[in-house]
Amino acid sequence: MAILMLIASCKKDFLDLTPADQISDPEFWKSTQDMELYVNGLYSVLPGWLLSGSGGNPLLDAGTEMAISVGLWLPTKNRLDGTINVSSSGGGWDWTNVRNVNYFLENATRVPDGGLKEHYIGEALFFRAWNYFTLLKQFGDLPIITKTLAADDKDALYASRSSRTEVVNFIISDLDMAVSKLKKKNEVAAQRVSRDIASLFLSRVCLYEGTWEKYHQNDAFKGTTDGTVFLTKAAQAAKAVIDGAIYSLATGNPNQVYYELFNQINLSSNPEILLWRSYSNAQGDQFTNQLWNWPHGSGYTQDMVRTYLCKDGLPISLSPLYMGENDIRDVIKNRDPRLVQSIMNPGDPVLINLKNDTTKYTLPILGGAQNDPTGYESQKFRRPQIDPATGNQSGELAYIIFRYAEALLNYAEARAELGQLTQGDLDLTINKLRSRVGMPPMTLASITTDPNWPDYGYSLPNYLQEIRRERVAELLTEGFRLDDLMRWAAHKLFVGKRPKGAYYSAELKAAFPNLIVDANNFLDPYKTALNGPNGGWGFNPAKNYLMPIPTNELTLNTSLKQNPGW
Amino acid sequence: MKLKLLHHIWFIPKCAVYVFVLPCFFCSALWANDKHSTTNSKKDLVFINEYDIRNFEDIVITGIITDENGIGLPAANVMEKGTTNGTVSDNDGKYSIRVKDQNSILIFSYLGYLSHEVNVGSLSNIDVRMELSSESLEDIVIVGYGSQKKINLTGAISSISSKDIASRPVSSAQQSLQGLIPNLNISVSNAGGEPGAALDMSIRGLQSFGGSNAPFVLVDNIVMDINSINPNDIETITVLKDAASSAIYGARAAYGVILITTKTGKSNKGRANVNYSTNIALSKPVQVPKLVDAMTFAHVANDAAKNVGGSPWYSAEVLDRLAKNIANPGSAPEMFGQPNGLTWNIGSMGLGAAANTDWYDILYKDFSSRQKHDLSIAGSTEKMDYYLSAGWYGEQGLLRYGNESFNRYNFDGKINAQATSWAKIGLLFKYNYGAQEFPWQQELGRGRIYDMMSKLKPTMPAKYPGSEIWTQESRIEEWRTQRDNTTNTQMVLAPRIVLEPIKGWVTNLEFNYTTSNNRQVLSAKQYFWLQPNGELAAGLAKISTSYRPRLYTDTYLSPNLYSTYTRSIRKHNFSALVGYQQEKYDYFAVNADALYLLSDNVPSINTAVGTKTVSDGQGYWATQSGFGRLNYNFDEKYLVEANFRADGSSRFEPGKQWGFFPSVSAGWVPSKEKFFPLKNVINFFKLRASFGELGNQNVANYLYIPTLGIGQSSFLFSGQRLWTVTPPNISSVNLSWEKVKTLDFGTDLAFLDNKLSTSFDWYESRTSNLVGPGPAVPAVLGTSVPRENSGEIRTRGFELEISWRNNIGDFKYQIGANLANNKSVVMSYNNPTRILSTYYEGQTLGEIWGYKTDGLFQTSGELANWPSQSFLWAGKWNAGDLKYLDLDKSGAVNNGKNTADDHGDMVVVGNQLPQYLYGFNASASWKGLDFSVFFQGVGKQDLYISEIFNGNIFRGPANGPFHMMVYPEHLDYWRDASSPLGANPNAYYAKPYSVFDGDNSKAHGRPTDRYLQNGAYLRLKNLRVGYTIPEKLTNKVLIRNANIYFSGENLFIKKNMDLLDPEQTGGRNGDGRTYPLSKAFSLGLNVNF
Repeated sequence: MAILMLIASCKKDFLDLTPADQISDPEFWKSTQDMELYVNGLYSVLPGWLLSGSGGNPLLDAGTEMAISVGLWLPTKNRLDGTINVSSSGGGWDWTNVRNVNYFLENATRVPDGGLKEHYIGEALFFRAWNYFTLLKQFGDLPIITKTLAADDKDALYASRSSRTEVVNFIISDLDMAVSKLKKKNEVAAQRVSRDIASLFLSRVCLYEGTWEKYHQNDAFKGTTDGTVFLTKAAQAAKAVIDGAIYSLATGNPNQVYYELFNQINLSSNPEILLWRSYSNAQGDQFTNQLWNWPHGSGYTQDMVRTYLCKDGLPISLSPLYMGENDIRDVIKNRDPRLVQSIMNPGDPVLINLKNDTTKYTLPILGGAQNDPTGYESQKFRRPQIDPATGNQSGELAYIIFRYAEALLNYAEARAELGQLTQGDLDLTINKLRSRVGMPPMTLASITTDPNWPDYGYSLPNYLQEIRRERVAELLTEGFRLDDLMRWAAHKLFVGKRPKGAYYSAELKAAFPNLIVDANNFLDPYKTALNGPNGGWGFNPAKNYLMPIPTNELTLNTSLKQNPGW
Repeated sequence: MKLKLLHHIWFIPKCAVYVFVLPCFFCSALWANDKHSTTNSKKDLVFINEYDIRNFEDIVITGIITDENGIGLPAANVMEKGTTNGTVSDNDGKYSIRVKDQNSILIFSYLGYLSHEVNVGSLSNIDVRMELSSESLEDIVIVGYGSQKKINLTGAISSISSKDIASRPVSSAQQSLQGLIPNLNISVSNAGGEPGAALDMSIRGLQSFGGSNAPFVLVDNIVMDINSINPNDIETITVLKDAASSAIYGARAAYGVILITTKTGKSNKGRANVNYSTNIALSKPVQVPKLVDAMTFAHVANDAAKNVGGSPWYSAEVLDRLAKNIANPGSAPEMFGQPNGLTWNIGSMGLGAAANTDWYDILYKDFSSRQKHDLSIAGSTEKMDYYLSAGWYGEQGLLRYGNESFNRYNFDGKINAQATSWAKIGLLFKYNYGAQEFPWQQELGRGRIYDMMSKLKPTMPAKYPGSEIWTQESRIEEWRTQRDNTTNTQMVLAPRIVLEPIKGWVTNLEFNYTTSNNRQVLSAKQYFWLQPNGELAAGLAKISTSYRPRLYTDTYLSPNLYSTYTRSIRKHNFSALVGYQQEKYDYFAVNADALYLLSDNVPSINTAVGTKTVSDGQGYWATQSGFGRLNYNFDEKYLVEANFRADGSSRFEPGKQWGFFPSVSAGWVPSKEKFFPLKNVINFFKLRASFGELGNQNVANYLYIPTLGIGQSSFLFSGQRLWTVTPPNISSVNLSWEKVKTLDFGTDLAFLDNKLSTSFDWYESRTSNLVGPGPAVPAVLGTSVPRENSGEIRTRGFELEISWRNNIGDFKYQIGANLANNKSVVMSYNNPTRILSTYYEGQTLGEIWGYKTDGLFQTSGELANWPSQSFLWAGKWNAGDLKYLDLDKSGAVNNGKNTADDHGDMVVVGNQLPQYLYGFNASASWKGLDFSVFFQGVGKQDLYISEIFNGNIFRGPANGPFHMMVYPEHLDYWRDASSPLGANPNAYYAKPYSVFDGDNSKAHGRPTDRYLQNGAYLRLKNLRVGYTIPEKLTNKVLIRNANIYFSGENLFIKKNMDLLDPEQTGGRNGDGRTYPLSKAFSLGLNVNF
């Protein structure tokens, strides 16, 4: 009997087994539903709240001259301080995301036409552009790879880099194609990439490259053009979003509208939001926005609070309304309402419990690694309400990826850089942002000369100074500042300088003694932390505009050349 | 069509029945020539050889052979010395033998027992009580699909018996094996000393790049986890090390085989033999980290803050409160709330608070307990034998509030019946139930517990002011509410049929059926902590409470059929074996995650109202194999053995599935030669040589098929996670067996009346076709390189065993030692640039590439004149930082092109693999007293314990504020006179910086000669003192035999590294942040009724 059982189990295909819990490639790519399954995964590259397991959550611009953190968020600080070293491997030179899109584009042809097929191809092209832009910002020139490589694809694996101009043209062609394939907002499910998102992203990429090629024309990081072509394209793409008229600025009480844009859990009905990312405690999201988790280790700088205009439209150097900065209550008085809506002031709600009792802000919590280093805590992205489900402040705060205001700012800046800026352009863009918060409009013919305009190391028309100021005031700590500094070749703004905090008033001193201050009695949290001249940022303009390629890559591929200065 | 030629040769019949039939012809041919063959009388089993008996005088000796407990030993060997005359005992241990004359000497031997010689003289009745042995050349050793006399072995095989592992207060056979067998390397796994933790095992240091290099473990011929067996049920353990010995297991045995045989029923004059044994132990951690006192900690923390230019963590005011609390506990506030009343001003884990807490005293118990109870009933009658046992092992954990435990229940049954005179049927039944309970951490799992413990500052208060609520940082409330309950149930049913239709021709039919049902339930309930405003706040939000059951079930079915024919014709001894085996393994798992428990009291999927997700895992693999062996020896003097095995495995793609693994070995026993000159001194001398090839199929399933995993998007679409697929990696086509070829030379010697015996083996293994990552390619590939069979590793090593045993009157003693070492070198690998990011030709496995250093900078002047170190850290270098040597005089310290040919200033600074592993033991007995000690150790090992970048225990204060810890050893760090602790310019540790990342990487973060640790150690693994109560006392209460003993485990360690236990530098969270090993003091009792 035993032998019979043996014989019975002796089938010829006894050893030929296939996976039971995974889909094998030949069984996939049958329908647009398969395409959707795949594309859903590509969204993971979109930015979100910075994960932090230690209870702190730095501001998105932390590490620049506008916001800093102590001990928590170092990549940006190290970049501006020139303390990045060449790694052997990794170092951001990661091509996984590019391959993931290429794999999709190669196999999409196997799916029968119809339905949302073209739209999903459009989404994938958007993400290839996104992934390439991420790499471009770090490394400049890049190899252009349009298919999934095999381990023995010698030509592609060991190729040299294409110039950044070619790379951006490649990104533009992907995005142009994406725009032509993607459906409009109302034709696709919420929070999916749609046509205007690709256009806005196109304007972001083109503005980045246009200004980069313009301002880096005379250094080692230059492209092959003077940037005009890209700036033109940036203006066109931003204008397409404006003209599409699907989106508009969110409006409301000028003293709240700006703050309320950033403390929402759900932005799906907000007219200003093109793409946002939501979080759900119920679905297991952890360590999301913890800016409410007070203190959270980061704060805004003196440079930041000095940037904002006064309510009369004049800079603080000239406005009679300016009250000085020896007390935070003075700092915020008579200023662009976006300032008071961005930083915590005494009396602001820190926490509103379920019984509607409000705990109010009195003082910043200073000193120590997870405490506020500067005395200017962020109000932006902070939601004081207790969530009944968690008994805690919500970690479900929405993260904004694309909003309409950027289209306006991109358009104004591109037009200005092209020398084509008109009052009509300003009224269409900057002045819409200003009027929303009740600030006086900008008039091209009568721009007040600010003696304290930042010195970029090159001459800049007065309107561009103000457009760049407006960009800070509007897009503060939404993650644009590092990119802006790089594309404007703006190292003069920070090299050899140090970010300072608030005035170390008697009130602060009584609560938090022994803090480090500068000669003028301003908090100086980075006093011994930076490596450059005068104890300031040590950014090397001949080197740090791009990141180094890991040494292993140079060893493996001898046609790859290291970036300048490394 | 896809089948290879080999398949045709061995599997023309496709089925085993032919494999079964072939030996029938072979055997019957021999049978036909044997005129002395008889059919079925029991007597035939007794007399091995009738040829010479006719010439004997008619002296008949009878007697009974019993084990150490007086129980009859069936099938024990009795040989007349210097002849081939011999017999075996019957089921009751009785024997009868005719010998030549009164000068004859009888040798009694039995598997696992010391052989015993008796001069016949005038005796006609000789009763022998055998003594358990750890090693004897006359022993019978279990080998693959059979057994052999140790004297006839030609391969590299070590074996031990139950005596060597008995009465140890340990949970598993694995723990008791460490250090006993040379080149069976057993080391602490990442689970550390957790109750019920498994250990890592490997044999002979053989390395695999991508597969597993764990040895293949068989219990009674059934594939099993070594930890599923109760050590008390074990009779013998054999380790097959060289290819020739393990070749019979082919593709499963590339990295060695461990064969375990469990106990069988023995006769006790017709009565059942009942054995009860127990062991009750107190255990405590071998080493718990020690924190410096709170005030010293505060000064160190302030120094580290000063070094980054930060404000001090402890202001003068806090230091003052701290001093008060140290002098007079509770005299000053330990912590304050923040102005918002919602959070406490305690920095990271208590930095800046003013308590004086001895955390490890709070968190660890002084003593914990373990207990073992084993009861067995065994016996045999003429027609059947049986063995039934039940065992319980219970271990409580070391954490005072962790409430962790491990319990294991075993049932083992073995029943054999003589169905007919030529057929024996039997059934093996094994049941194992293990339950492990453990605190869990919802987000990061178990290991996070030790990680969090390592971050606790001595200034952190244990409880909230004026309350009995543990602080959230202590994690005690979290441990209570977040739990991991794991139960594993394994059942083995293994019917056996043994046919012996013709004397010497034995056919075994074995069905092995194993099923495991494992269940892991992770649950996280709500817990609360106290806010400064006096309100309780949820430490875990209700919405995040969870219940996550995981069910795994697997079944394994493996029919085995093998047939052996053994014949001795005069001095020619033959044995031939052929067999067939197939295996099918099925795996099925269901995982559920349910969030938001409505009631913490009834956690279940039904009572959870949040998101629920379910996923599964399924898989199977199968193998088919044919195997055979031929043994021949002439007069036990010239020995030859040949093995083959053909294996087919489903893990490889069709066409690559089959492998053929042959081996040969030979031995010569010169001491049996007439011309051998030193017979008086050297009693036995054997030379052995073997060569063979094995395969390894231990790679993941279906690597050749591109698959898309299913997952959920991290991005929420309209608030929902959508399903998504993950892109496939490049599939690993053409993957096939790893091959291990081993050449082994060995010798066994016995001197001075067998008092001194020794065994030595030297071997060289070449592992080729290694399954590993393909060559390093540029990262633009965008995925991991597919696995391929590539490269060759050569491992050379040796193992040495020596033992001495002697009796001085009633005083018997034994001393043994073993030593082993090996070294592996990469002979070839597809890495043309010889880049150091992957394997390269000429690499010694385990080597650590790092930098040479020359102390610490003392002044900034010294810095200015030193070669640039900006490659290592682009920021500022300060006095107190590490000086790296510019070995290549390039003017800057760097790693060149990071290749083996251009490595700049980087050199091999050490080797992390343990070398010169040794063990030694001594035992003695005198009358009823017995004593034994057993030491185990590692002779040489370099440990680099800075790989995990944050929270590194080695770095102590040189971590970010959250991860910072200070042990007394860390106080030897560089500081100038401005520190309250005084200047320490000649420090061991570099200047610490209170940052998470960055500055500390100057001195730490890459291996240096300075900070490599010496991992050598010597451990007193076990010490035992026992006393056997005289029989005349025990007999009165119907106890045949009773032994009480004290046994201590891990009592003492000698090591070079103060900071950590060298065996515990790993761990789930890296570098020593792991459950400590325990030492145990136990009392035991062993009673036979």
